[in-house]
Amino acid sequence: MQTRIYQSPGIQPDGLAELLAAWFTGHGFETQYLRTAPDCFMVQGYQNDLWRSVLGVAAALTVEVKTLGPDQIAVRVGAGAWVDKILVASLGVLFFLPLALTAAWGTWQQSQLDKEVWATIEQGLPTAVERVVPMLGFGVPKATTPLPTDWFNPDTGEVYSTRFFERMASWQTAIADGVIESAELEQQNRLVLELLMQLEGSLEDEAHHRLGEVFAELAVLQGMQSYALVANLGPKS
Amino acid sequence: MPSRKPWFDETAGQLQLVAYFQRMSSWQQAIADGQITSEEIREQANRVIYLLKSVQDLLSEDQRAQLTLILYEMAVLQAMQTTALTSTLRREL
Repeated sequence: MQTRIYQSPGIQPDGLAELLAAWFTGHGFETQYLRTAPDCFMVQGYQNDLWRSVLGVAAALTVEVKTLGPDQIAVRVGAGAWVDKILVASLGVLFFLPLALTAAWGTWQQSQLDKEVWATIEQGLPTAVERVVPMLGFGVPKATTPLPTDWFNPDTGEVYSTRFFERMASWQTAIADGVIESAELEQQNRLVLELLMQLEGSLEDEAHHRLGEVFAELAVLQGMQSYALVANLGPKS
Repeated sequence: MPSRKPWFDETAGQLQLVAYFQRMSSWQQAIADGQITSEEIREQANRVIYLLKSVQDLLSEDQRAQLTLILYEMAVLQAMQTTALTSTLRREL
């Protein structure tokens, strides 16, 4: 969530809100345009289709535009009120996707959507002077409770590592600048391999055999997810 | 119990199980028609969850904690790979 303040003679919130509503509609978003107060407008965009739903990558954004004072408006961009709808879509997916593909795509895609919307706002206010107010991190949730030590939610079967991976220091460090470098990938790969080697050496034969099956089938699942992502989302983006 | 197959290719330093996933029957069945459907992904995910549950009782507390950490770090690795993949796709399209 980020707020920017724009200052320009005669600047009004309604014109910018209408421009943003048209942008969302023109880009295939389901769009809501609301006047929430005499000098405050809210524009919400939500985009989903079958494969976005399956992969849990629904895109949504809320923009609030309001008058702050003479010749001054504030624009706030964030997930906003439709977050519940996204969560519903995502939970359905996480139940059967015990990996982090959807969250990673969602984080990246949301950041791209943010950039596009801010670019549209800047184009709509060519003469305004801008000031950025708060600046939060790159979508990294705050850790308020310890990570679960169980692997699954017993009620839903959801795999916890999918939901909470964003709280891992390794992820937060790598994504801090919004870019994943090849060196960061290699480093994380080495970390996983080292952990696996430590575990492998300590296992009895039966556990070793069963876990070997787990990792092999996990690799198949990751291959299937990546194939589906490239085949169904990549070329249409 | 089959003979113990190592998880790693010691010469390449790679996880063999990942390198050869295309030899798995689950992959070959899913990709046979050239498409991966959402139902096939769902079935595969359920297979993984079932296998993971079957392993839990075979591990000591320390091993279980270690595997928990591995699952988290593997999720981070996949998230990083996917982020890199999708941003590359976007640049190339």
